Amino acid sequence: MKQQIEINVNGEVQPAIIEPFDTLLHTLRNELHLIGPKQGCDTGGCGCCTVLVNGESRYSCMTYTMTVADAEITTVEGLADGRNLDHIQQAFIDSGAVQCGYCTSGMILATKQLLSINSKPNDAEIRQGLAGNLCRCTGYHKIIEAVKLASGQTTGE
Amino acid sequence: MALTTLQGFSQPNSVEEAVAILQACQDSAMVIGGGTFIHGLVARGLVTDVEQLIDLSRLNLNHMTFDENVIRLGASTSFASLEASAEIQNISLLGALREAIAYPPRQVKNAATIGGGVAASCPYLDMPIAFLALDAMVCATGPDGTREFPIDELFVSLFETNLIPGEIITEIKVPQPSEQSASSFEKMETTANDLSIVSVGVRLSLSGGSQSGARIFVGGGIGEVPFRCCEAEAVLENSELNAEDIKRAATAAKGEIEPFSDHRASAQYRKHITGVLVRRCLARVANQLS
Repeated sequence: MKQQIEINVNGEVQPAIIEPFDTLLHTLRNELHLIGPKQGCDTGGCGCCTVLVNGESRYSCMTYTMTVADAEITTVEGLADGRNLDHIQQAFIDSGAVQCGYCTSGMILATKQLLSINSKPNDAEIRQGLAGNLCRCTGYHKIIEAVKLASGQTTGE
Repeated sequence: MALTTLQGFSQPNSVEEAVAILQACQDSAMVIGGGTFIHGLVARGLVTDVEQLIDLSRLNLNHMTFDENVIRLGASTSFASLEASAEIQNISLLGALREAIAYPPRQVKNAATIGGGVAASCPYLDMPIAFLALDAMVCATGPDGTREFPIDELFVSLFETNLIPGEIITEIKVPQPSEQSASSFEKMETTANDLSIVSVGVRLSLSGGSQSGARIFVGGGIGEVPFRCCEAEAVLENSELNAEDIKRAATAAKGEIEPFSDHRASAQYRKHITGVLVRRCLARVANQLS
């Protein structure tokens, strides 16, 4: 049975019409037309659907929208301030940490979560922090470089 | 795949309210803690008839208290909040719990709860094995009030618990033994997103240089419920935990389990890996206690 809810996404409270079984990924993409979160494995294993729920990374494919209807959701679309990219987004560009791009939004949000609890992660901590995100192009080396750049541990030169 | 049979969704604000809703819905309802497990079942077509979801996240069952004799953990405590707790990180007894919650990715740790991890009664999950090794007690509240029982009684069969209709798990209690104790957990899986081939949880207690009351549990593809390796535990009674005894206990463990063969691993491989993991876990714990 469809019902209308209000959901706070990227700082904006928006109406959405959802079924009780809709996942957050479905609501974001099909109702709110935010296509930054991607559908990958759809079983909570690959990470390209990653969003932030109250600042914590979650797999939106395995989160029922109803359980987070009162939370603050952040997708990759909510990171930039107008035309100014978030420093993590910029670091991914500067490091060339993008190949096909399908995993990128999830990687960036997983990085956001990682740096919120560990501002200067070492290589092992970065790998552990991004363990829930797969890059099918296997471009992990550049992604780790991007996280180090974003955390101010390298200058990118 | 979506759970299209779902008609309603509720977020009760108290345990009493949750029990009342659950009782009214009977078999058509499913309780979720963090909701990470049900999704896997739905995606594999294993859950198709749930009409009501009852989300327990508003019950505020996320307390952690540390008394001298017992550690009390609210059922809705997430893996991430366990990981962030200095007490959880520092109590040597809780090694099995720490090592079990280290496996999932951050996105799962943020959502998954300890109550959900045991209430699913799935021997492939890590929480049952860790809490069995720790001799945990389960507190449950239902229409007839609150009761407390050893966690091994919870696991009746695959996806089947001893909870009566309307009952929910509210707390898991870990007793702190008076002897010096430590525990460990390790598992093997084919991929990070797959069910475990086998998993092992052990706890040892040392008093006057002699071990007593060992716990060795095996999960994964070994049966409907986690398996307790009583013969291996017996090998370690009064042991000084030398390498020879540890090896004998590991051999006993792989001899007494009765795993099955499937597309993930053969029964023979599961036995072999169980021996390896039991030996590693025991060696780690013995090293901590020495």
